[in-house]
Amino acid sequence: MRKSEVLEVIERETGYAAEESTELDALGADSLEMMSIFTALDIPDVAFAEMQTVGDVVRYAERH
Amino acid sequence: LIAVQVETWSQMLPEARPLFPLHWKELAVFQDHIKIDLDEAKYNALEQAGILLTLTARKDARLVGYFTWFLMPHPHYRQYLMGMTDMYYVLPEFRRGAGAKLFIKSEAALRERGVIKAITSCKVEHDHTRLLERLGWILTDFTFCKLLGGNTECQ
Repeated sequence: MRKSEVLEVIERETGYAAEESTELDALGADSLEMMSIFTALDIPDVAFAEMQTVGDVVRYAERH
Repeated sequence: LIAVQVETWSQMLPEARPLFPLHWKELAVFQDHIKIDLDEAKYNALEQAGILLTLTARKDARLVGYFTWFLMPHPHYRQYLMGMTDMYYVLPEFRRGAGAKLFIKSEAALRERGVIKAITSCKVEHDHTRLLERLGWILTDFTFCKLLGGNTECQ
């Protein structure tokens, strides 16, 4: 998945135009909403638990 | 940045003390009758006995949440280690995925320790059913409470 697609999913789910430096907790999503984002991105829960920023999500999505 | 990790109770305790009353105020039932009075010595003993598992959520270095578990063989199933939720809490202003991370990391830590089954719960007024089911937990029981009055000076 490309960076633009990840950012698009995040914006669709949260309404937040995030950048790679954006911290995940700044997205304003609660735990359930956060899990929805990661489901949409097909990222496993254990990987999510280690992520801190949108950049971490982008890098994971690009690698897988 | 919010990071979730396994720590020791004794590491967490000094910073957790101010959070416990907030936790109690938000979530405890029968507050007019049952006041918070955490038995720190007992928690220390449980930790020494290898029964207590503690995870923390930290925003940078600051403690913003915790999850404690009791790990022990169940009296019905002596050969199996079970994980029972003691308590979990995240400061309201940090509820941006930290709760999910605490559950996910807890599960990993429980698996590492050989736990066969974990049991958790949530308050009816703070219903986490959708999150827990999303994380693969199964609703198996309802819990009921009844205030009986009882002695306030139990030892």
